[in-house]
Order: sequence, then structure tokens, then C-alpha cells
Amino acid sequence: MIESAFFNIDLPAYIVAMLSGFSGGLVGALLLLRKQTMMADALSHSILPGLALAYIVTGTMGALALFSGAFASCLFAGALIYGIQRMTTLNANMAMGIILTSMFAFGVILLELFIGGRVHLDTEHALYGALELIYWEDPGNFATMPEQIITLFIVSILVILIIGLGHHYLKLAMFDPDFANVKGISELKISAVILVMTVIVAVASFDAVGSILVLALFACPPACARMITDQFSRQIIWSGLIGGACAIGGYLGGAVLPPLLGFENSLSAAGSIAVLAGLTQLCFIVLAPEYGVLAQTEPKQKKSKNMGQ
Amino acid sequence: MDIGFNTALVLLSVLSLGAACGIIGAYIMLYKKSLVSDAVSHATLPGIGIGFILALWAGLDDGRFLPFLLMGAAFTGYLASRIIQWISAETRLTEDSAISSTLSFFFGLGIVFFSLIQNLESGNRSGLDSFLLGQTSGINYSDALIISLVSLVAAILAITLHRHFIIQSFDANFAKLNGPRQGSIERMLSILMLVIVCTGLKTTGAILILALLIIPAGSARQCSDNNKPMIALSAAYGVISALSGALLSASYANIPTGASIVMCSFVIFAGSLMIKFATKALCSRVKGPSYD
Repeated sequence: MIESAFFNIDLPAYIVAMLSGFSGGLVGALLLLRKQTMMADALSHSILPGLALAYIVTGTMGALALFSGAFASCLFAGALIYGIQRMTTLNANMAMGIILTSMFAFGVILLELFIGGRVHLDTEHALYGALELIYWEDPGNFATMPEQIITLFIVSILVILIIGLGHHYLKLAMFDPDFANVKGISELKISAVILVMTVIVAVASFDAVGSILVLALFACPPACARMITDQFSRQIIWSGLIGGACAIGGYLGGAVLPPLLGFENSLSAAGSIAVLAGLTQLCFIVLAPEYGVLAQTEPKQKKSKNMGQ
Repeated sequence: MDIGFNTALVLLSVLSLGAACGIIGAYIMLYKKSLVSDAVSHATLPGIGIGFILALWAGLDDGRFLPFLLMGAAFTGYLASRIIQWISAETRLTEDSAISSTLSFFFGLGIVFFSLIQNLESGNRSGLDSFLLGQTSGINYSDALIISLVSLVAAILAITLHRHFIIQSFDANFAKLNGPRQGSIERMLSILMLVIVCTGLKTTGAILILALLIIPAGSARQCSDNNKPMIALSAAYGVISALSGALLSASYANIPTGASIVMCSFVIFAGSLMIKFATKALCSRVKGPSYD
């Protein structure tokens, strides 16, 4: 039996943060290339009613029940967004906005009316995440490992497998949709696969960073990778690595560093992960060797001068 | 229900907010900028935190000094909209990616500030949480007056600029030839959006104000292909959903106002979708001009 604050609290939090950052980065890279990053936002808002309904129906906080509830409601939201886009003149942005706010509001109402503080599932948890609350009673004993780690571990492996095996098809569908269509890989199938992966990762990371900040892990690392590479496989790998690093660094900066520096309380871990991810992206945007703002300023000026003459 | 003077005033403020959101939201929809308002509304959160800390430092009202909070909110909201514009114009990243990363960065910053405030011994955070999901019960006489006035002014301003907004969103090239500079009109719209988002913070909260901006507009779009009736309808839907939502949350104390307003507007959206499909099915044999 090992007992120390590091092994009981910090270690599982690091693992959970790293795994969700890693898998979020991998899937986010696909979303970025398809210009669908906001879909992750819409889906992560839709987790809430699913969790609430699963709790109301089953009456337990079992991981499986919650996971399947959240999964179902995300898929439902995805289908609604697709349906609105297809059947009306509203564009994707409007459809997402309508569905994400409605689902989130529905979730909030369910929580407040039927659950109201009886379990640790509440609006605050949904917004802020609960990375600090994950507790590994007996580190080293895998039987007592927190559920979140197991779920995220399985999800990460699943995502790696899908992307690794389907790498060729994904690439084809993204860069030459017509040829892919001829080969029988329709747009809809690829969309559905990416959607399902997004939902799985979002639901699994929900505990760590909360429903809204899941977006940080989907959005920022792929954007960083996009600034430094033009290659599909590098884009995905870099994005995953940067995601994992941001998540670890964010937890370190938010939860571990302030007490070390002499402050009494730590900051929100989920919030600082998102802040760190955003700052990292800013650095990449400014400093990236080829496509960064700094690197691009000079040739642009020369070009405009030539045009003027 | 016995409606006192104060309640009537709160309802008036909610009503004018709904109308203004409906009108401005319709223009935002025509500009295809709906998700920018999502990012801007989330980005008000760190501003509220900064305003709170500043007010606490200045010794005003225990930190919950509304002008400071709203100024902070407007500041970070504006910053976010500029950052989105900068990223999508200056880098290879798309607007979609710019919106999502800016949104999550600012929201994360807001949450960090909130957790900081909670740790401050003197700070009383309880008032701040209402900015997330909205609580009309926290609105007093002067707040209600400010909300009504500001939304009225914003709505009137938007209607005055109607011609420019319409020309700009339907034919940008023609607008460039004809009217004032393209950028200034677009900036005007984003300022109006920002003003209305900050005004709505107390009523619907930062997360759900987006709904009041886009759901009425989306519903009105189902009912009309002509821009003037559409905008009028959107204002009407905004008023109906804001009013019924506020009344619902007033009678069931547990429901945050923002959430009940969103649910009401979603019911209107679903209804208008159904009416649209029903009329389509009925009129399918009549060949008319198609606007799709």
C-alpha cells in the first residue's frame, strides 16, 4: 500500500489529463482538416442531458450507464444537426448553435429539477470538470484504479486503432472526396466515423475537463500542428503529442504549482489546461518556422511592393 | 399571478432584451457569423472575473459592482472577436478553428479567474455564478432600467442600419461600390452583438445568450424568405421565448432563467419547422417560385 498525495491524487490526474489530451488531439486533427472543429463544441454540450437522463433512468452513477447515456445523446444531437442542415436552408453553424444551446439547457433543467445536488453530477461539475477529485486509493493495485483511467485508456487505444487502420481511407476521403466516392468510401461514412470518435473521446474526457473545455483539447493542439506541418500523418501525431503535453503542463501549472509557490489554494485544473493550450497555440501561430506570422511578414511586404511597381 | 411593479419592470427588461436579440440575431444569421457570437459570449467570462477583482480591489459593493463587471465582459468579448478575425485573416487556420480555440481559451481563463476569486477570502462568488446560467431574480430596479434602455437603443440602431446590413450580406461587392467602408458596417454589427451579449449576461447567462441570438432568427427563417418580415418575426419570437422563459423560471425557482428561455425558444423552433414541412407537403402540387 503506497500512500502519498502524489500517488493518490496527482498521478491519476496526470494520467487522465494526458490521455484525454492525447486522444483529443488525435481526433481534433481530423476535425480540423474537415473544418468541423465546432462540431466538437456542439457534441460536448450535448453530453449533459445524456448523463442526467442516464442517472434518472438507472438511478446509479455507474460508468457504463453514464457513458452510454452520454454517447446516445451526443449521437442524437449529431443526427439532429445533420437533419436540420439537410432539410432547411440553415447552414451548419446555425444548426449547431440551435442544437448545442437547446441540449445544454435541457441538461441543466434535468439536473436542477430531478437531481439537484444529490450526487456529484451538477452543473458546476459539467462546466468545470473534476480532475482534482479523481482518487486512486491504492496506486499499483490495478483493481482499485479509477474508472476514468480505464475508460480513457480503452478509448485512446480504440482511437489509435481506428486512425491507424483507417489512415489510408481517411486521407483519401479528405483530400480527394470524388475519388474516394468512386471507391465506395462515401462522405457520410467518413463523417459518421469521425463523429463517433469525437463523441467517444468527448464523453471519456468529460470527467477530466468538463463539457466546455473538452473543446480546448480538440481545437488548440491540431491548430498548433497545422502551423508546423503539411503532412497528414505528422499533423495527427504532432497534434496528439501537443495535446498530451498541454494537458500535463496545464495540470502542473494549475493544481501543483500554486501551492509550491506558497499560495494556499490551487487554481482550476481544467481552466489552466485550456489556458495553456491557448497560449501554446498563440506561440505556434507567431513563431512557427514556415507559416508563422513572423516568418510570413517579410515575403508579404516584398510582394506588395512589387505589385505596386 | 400578482404582478408587482418590480416584476413588471423585470418583465419589461426581458421583453426588450428578447426583441433586441431577435433583431440583431437575424442580421448575424444573414452575415453567417452565428458561431462568432458563441465565442464572444463565452469570452465575457474572464472579463467578469477581472471586473470583479478590480471592483473588490477598489472596495466597491463587495466586488459585485455591475458597471465594472460589464465593462470587463465587453473588453474580453471584444478582444476575442478581434483575435478570431486576426487568426482567420493572418494565418492558414480557418475561421472555424479560430473560433473554437479562442472560445475555449477565454472560457478556460474565465474559469481560472473564478477559481482564483473563490480562494480570495473577502470575495463572495455566489453572485458571479448567476452570470453563467442567468437568474432574473437577481435583477433590481436599476439593472432592469439599464437592460431595457440599452437593448432598445441597440435594436433601434440595428434597424436604422438595416439597409447596409442587407446589402452587405447579400451582395458584398455591390456594398463595396456603394456604401461606407465594408469593414465599418461589419464592425458595427459585431459591436451591437457584443453590447447585446453583455446586456443579456444577467438574464440568460454567458453560455445561453447565444440561444436568444440564433434560435428566434433560425425559426423566423423557416417562416419567411423575405428579409423584413423575417426580422419582425424573429423579434416577435425573441420576445415570446424570453417572456415565457422568464415567467417559467419565476414560477419554478429551481430552473435557471437562461435554460428555460432556451427551451421555450426551442419549442418555437420545432413548431415553425413542423409548420414549414406541413405547408410544403400541402403546397407541393402548386408550382411557385422557389427560394431555396
